[in-house]
Amino acid sequence: MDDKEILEIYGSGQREAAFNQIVAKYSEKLYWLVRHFLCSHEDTDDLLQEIFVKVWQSLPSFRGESKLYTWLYAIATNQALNFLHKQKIRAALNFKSLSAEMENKIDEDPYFNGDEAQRLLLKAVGRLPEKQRTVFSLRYFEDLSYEDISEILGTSAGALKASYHFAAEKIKDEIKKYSEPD
Amino acid sequence: MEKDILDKLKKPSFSTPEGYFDKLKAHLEEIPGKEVEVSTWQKSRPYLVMAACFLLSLIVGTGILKMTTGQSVSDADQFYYDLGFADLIPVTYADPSLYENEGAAELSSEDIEDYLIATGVSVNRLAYSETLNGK
Repeated sequence: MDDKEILEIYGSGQREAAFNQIVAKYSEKLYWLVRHFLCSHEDTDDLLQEIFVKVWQSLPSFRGESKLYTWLYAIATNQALNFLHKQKIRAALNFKSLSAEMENKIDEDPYFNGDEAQRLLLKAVGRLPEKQRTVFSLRYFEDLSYEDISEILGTSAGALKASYHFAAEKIKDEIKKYSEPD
Repeated sequence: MEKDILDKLKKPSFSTPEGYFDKLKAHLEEIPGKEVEVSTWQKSRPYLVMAACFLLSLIVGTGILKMTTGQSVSDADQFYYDLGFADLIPVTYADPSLYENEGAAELSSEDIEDYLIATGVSVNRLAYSETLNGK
């Protein structure tokens, strides 16, 4: 079912049916979006509940000015970033950095089944500044177009391209540095 | 070639527990049924808490201010009122020994000098007044 049909169902008063269609179509996509931010299955599972509660509560205020999926991705991205902000404060109180915490999560994740290079990639992404990390995740992991990311983040496509370019260069340098033999 | 590094690494690196997404969908579909009506009390609670905190800080702040500044405004007014009668109030308490000489019918000049010194008149002023009196 496409987004237009989902919105028609919602518009006809069948709120719950429309919401269930959103869950069926987007729950897995939003899971992977959030997973790449949080690097933990448990944290992602918890946050996903909150995201869909927010979607349910915010549906009445959705005016259709943006596409349904960019609206959903915006909610999920904001919730993930808020979660990371709280993690950062928690880490700082324990005299640790957020990126160090994220690296621990990647190393200890029982559901990580990538190779060493992918581990380096994820860690490098975790060390990026927030904006670059967000843009890189949406572009690289989610394959979203710059126009869609622009709608999600409210930033111009040009600025996003520059952000992605810098992020990609940093990550390539880091992977090269760690994978080169001594 | 460098461009290929990121392309090569673009493959799934995470897995999920078996059957996770089916359970997830079932769980998420329960959300509309769990919608809780928020009461007026719950809606206004954060504002009431903020108002209570503000009131408490106002009371505590006023109390601390009162304790640390000493005299209140009304006490200060009373002080200046009393000061208007200062000439009728002794500057210091007179030495009790001045009143212990019950046998003396008259006060000697020494007694008077001692009294004046005890009440705060400077020695220089005393000497000046003696000069004026022709001593």
